[in-house]
Amino acid sequence: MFELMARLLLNKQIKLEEGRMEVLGIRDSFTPLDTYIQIQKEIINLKGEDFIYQSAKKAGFNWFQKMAKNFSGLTQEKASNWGVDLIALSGWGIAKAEKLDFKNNTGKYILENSIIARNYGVANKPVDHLFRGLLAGGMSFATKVDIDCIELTCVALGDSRCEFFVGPKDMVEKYSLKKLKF
Amino acid sequence: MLELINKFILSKNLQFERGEIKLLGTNICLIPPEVYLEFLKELQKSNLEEILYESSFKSGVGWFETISKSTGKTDKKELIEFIPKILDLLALGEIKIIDFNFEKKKATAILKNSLNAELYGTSKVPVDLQFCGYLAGAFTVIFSSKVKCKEVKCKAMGEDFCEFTIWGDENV
Repeated sequence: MFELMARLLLNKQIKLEEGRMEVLGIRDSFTPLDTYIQIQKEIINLKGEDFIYQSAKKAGFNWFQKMAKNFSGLTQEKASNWGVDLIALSGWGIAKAEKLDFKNNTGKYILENSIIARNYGVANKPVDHLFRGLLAGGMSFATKVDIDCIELTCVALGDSRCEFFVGPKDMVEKYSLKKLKF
Repeated sequence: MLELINKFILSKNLQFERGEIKLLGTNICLIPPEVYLEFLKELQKSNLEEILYESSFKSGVGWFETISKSTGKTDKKELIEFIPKILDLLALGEIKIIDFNFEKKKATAILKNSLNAELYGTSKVPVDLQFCGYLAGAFTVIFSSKVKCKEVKCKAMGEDFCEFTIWGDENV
């Protein structure tokens, strides 16, 4: 993670000046974890978790769209690798892609040491709506298919790691959390 | 900004480990600003955007209290110099405290190159609710008394920069 940050800084792919930070040509910012968790909890109380997910999905799609403008030739595989690298840089935990099937646009992602889940407190449902939303949005842009994502296991529920399934919207809708077989 | 980051890395006050980023004992993370933009625009539709201010304020108080403890900076004058540097690290824009009065618990700050204003486009109302909440949290710690913050000028409304007024909550 530190190596990646250092490499990006050396290659001037992270720029810091006059209160701005650009990562790979796109403006970005840091958020204290507690702020994000507080915002998520308040929004879920008032608007439900889908609000967080859909907002993150839209943001993920727009972010990859900007990236594609800055870096031509963004393939599905590259987008997936970039997503994983960027998450490594973002301080949310360690993301890994598993069982990717580019033909059917499905995949399983792992988020180890999810800091949101670890610091969330009591939860009776998975809590990584931001991660799954961004993943769905990014994958939707890369595949040109409406992709959705569900969280199968979550550290906030006592699981050892957070696992996610991504796939076309209709396929994801068919699965419930417990019945999913992948 | 880069100089301060280097200093924090060397002093181990900024750490990258197992997918975590810790700044002065607090977890921070990169969240695409488009996420907040979506939150803001959607919450505005139901007049619930104050959630962003209140959440940033509450967590801001805890965050700046942790920073004050971990750096040993408890003196008001020290804090008023140090806290803007920390806020700058969030990369929401370039902050400058242009006026403050410890006795009256009032302050004025400006924000140049506001990220939210830049992303939002044209707006009839101020859009830096998150930053406003952080400022209220920061000055609550500096003044050791609850304050409020209001954005009185916003770049998204056509101003050159954003301006914030901070005042003691008992005066509200």
